[in-house]
Amino acid sequence: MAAPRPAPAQEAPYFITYTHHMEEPGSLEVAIAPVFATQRGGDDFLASSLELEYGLTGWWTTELYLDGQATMNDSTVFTGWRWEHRVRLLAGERRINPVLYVEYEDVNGAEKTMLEVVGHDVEADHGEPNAVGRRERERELETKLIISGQFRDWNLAGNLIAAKNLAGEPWEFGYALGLSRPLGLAARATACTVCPENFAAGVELYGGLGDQHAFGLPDTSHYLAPVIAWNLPSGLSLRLSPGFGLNRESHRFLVRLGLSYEVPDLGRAVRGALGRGNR
Amino acid sequence: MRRALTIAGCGLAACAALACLGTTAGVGPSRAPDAARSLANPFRDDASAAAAGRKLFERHCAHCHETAPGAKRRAPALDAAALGNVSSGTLFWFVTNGNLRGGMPAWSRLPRAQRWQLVAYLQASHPRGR
Ligand code: HEC
Repeated sequence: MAAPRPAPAQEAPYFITYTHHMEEPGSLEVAIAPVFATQRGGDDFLASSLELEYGLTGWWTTELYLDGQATMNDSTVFTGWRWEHRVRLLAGERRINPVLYVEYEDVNGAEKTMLEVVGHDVEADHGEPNAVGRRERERELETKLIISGQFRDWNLAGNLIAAKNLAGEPWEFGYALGLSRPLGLAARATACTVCPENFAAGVELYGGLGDQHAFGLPDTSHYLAPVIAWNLPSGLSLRLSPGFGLNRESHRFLVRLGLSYEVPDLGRAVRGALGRGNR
Repeated sequence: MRRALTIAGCGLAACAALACLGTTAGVGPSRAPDAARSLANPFRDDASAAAAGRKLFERHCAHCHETAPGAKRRAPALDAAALGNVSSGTLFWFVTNGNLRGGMPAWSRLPRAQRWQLVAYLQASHPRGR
């Protein structure tokens, strides 16, 4: 039986910003992405999502998120799920490549992963006890316009977010910007794990843009977060990102960690596991 | 709730329709524009670049392009028959753009130097393809 061959995604190192690079067709990426945040007027917390990303075709990627969090001196709770689709609008590599993103989410008020900051999201939202937050249920439709391009070996990506709570609340907006580059451009001829070609670094800027009644940068939170990723030849990827709140409405400090593993050909992996592998 | 699903459904259908329109262009290396075809490989005849390209190929491409005996083929074999008369620039262009509709990913995410190293490997293993 052929040994499974890992295919590390070699994606941009971002946590928040999406690029035009899609998941490989037939591949599954499993990731966990915990975030630790300090909280004024409440207890610090650790929130995390489990992410399952699958390439349906070369131009269509789907992803399921399961979210939870643990707040110090409080409890550990499951906070809901999100299911998104990303579709590349134009074939071929262009200067600017548009991707449309559509997500449905069913989360409760204790959700704290902050993977998208929209509307008037502020630090104080995360200060209430879990028992209170959990009582509030939010069903949201979220859309993003992703534009992204490679400029020499840099990736530059921008996401504009429009989200609507389906209980009839106004449209809320947000943004994310990312800039990154691999640390080593040419690959070495020999196998290596700790070498510049396996690292990528960059920075993300993200935050809210208010809602349809009060659009703009005030009264919402904004973060600046350097990111670094290490793509191991085994198919494992590690990412790390300290984040800094840029105004009084933001958490002062966040740190995100990402651990992901890519299964290149899910169909074959499953057949193999069921004992009907290729001999 | 029902309204939500309807909105989500319509959005998705619109995406799918747009994507079908958008991805009809470009099938195979033969679609490379003239300017791309004539680009020369900066790593031409560089044996260590071809060795690096081989490493990259194993990592990113082999699970689709190399087929174990008896297994179902996912992608065409990249042998002399496939690549024999294809120029370096054309290969670079195709690897960069892929053919998303045909199931070939775009490799623009890899640095340009690595894409050229891949081309060096593909051509070194099939020397007629210079
Ligand atoms: C997810 C599977 C997959 C991966 C991974 C993949 N390819 Fe492909 N590739 C394909 C498919 C499918 C085609 C045929 C597309 C078509 O019909 O035009 C193809 C076509 C090609 C062709 C054109 C072959 C011909 O005969 O016209 C080249 C060259 C190529 N791939 C190179 C690469 C390189 C280099 C890599 C790694 C960086 C790679 N591919 C990774 C699926 C893949």
